[in-house]
Amino acid sequence: MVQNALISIIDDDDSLRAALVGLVRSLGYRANGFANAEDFLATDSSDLSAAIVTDIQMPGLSGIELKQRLVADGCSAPVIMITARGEEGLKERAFASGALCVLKKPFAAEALIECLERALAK
Amino acid sequence: MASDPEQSAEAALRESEYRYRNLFQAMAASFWELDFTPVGAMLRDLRKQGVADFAAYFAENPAFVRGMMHVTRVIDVNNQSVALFGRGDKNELLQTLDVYWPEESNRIYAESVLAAVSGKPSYAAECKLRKLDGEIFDALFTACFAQEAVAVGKLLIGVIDISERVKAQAQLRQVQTEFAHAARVSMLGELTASIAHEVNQPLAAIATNASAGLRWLDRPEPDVAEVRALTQRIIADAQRAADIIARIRAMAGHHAPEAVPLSMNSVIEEAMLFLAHELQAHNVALELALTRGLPKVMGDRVQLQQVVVNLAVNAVQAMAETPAPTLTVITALRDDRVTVTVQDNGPGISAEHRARLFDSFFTTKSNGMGMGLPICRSILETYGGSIEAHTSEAGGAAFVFTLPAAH
Repeated sequence: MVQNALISIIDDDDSLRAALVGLVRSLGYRANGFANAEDFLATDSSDLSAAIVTDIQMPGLSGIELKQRLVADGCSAPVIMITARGEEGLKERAFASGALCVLKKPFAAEALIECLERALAK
Repeated sequence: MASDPEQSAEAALRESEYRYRNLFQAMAASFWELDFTPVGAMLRDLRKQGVADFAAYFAENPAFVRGMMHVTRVIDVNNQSVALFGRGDKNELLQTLDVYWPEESNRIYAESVLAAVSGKPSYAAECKLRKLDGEIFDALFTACFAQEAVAVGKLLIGVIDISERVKAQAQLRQVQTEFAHAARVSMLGELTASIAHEVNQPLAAIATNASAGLRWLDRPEPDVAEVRALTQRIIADAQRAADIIARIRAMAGHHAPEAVPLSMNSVIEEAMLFLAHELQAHNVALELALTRGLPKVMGDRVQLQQVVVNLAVNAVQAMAETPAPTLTVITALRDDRVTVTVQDNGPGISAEHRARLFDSFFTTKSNGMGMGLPICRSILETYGGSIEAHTSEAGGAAFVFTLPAAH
């Protein structure tokens, strides 16, 4: 069940998104990549995803705004947030919005894997 | 007595000669009287051979130009000339002109001959000349082609030593270059968070791809195709990181500015690469209205990028409290000048600040140095440009700078 889980990955950086999709697939999960939150919301992926990995800073909806939107829509898929920015208070705001994990780029793959395992154990 | 016309003409001539001799000696410039009669013969020969375009011929035959100098004799010089060129003995200076004329100034001699041939009254240019002891210095060279003198093969030239001025200008340029570099480094400092973000993206991708690759290899049956694809992505991401660092290094580096023909649109597009993350972090929308087919401008690529980045960073900072902040960059051609407008929809510039905007050390920022705009202006002026502050249609600040179109 966990082994066929669909993980959605949202990041506006093409090469990092491709890398994350590749990593998730190497773990044996299925992966879907989206360049922004709007594209993701336009599909039924939010209902199908066992977990969501999203960048925080993106053109349009930010990762934090996406999580707030998902909560409002009643979607309870766990959200892992990643960011390249280290400004003060960002991590706190991400957790306050309901993020399961917040990872700062560049992060060790093990850290993301651990987050994914926690997300899928929920 | 004075009614004798012959005698009074002679008196007038003596008077004129006396005034000329006095001026020749008394002026602070170095004056030379030259006999160029043989040059006239050389040019007549050339014409007989069918050469019509002297300018082209001189450009292609530097030896001919040297030859003309070699037959031009110095017949008299004033005391200033002895002081400037000689070693105390005036007679030592009375030789052929090529002695004083380094190769690099051939073009100036050729141009002065062309000016004389085409009937111009005078010629002036800055060039290098050589003293008897071999020292080469910067001079302002003037030649006067008075009809009566030219008719008898005589030429009067003046030389002013401008080496101090040229040296001072070089020092000023050096200081301006240093300041521009300092401002660039300080500007990069303000963009540190964005730069870190930009470099971190490919690094994160590399780390992630490598981890995924290991996982494919560690499977009971390693998937070589997956690993190959991931490895190729790693190479591409490493190249991307290297490109970003090369761009930052060019901006941070200290180089002698070089004026080359540049497309202003591509300078702006490159400057925006620096700003992409900064704009995104502050939710600033970017609107580029770049007119295609603009003529090129002359300037140093890094310095003009610096001007654009500096104006854009100012705009982003000015819009910190602005809802829906928008940065607009417009290029256009006006009166044979490429015009760039960098405008925002922030609070604009107050009338009391406007007059002092380009003053050194004037700043409205708590952590600002007040050097950004004065340095932008000094960079633009180096390349014949100018900059002004206006109010944008949205009531924000609009900085408009122009550079002459290069032809």
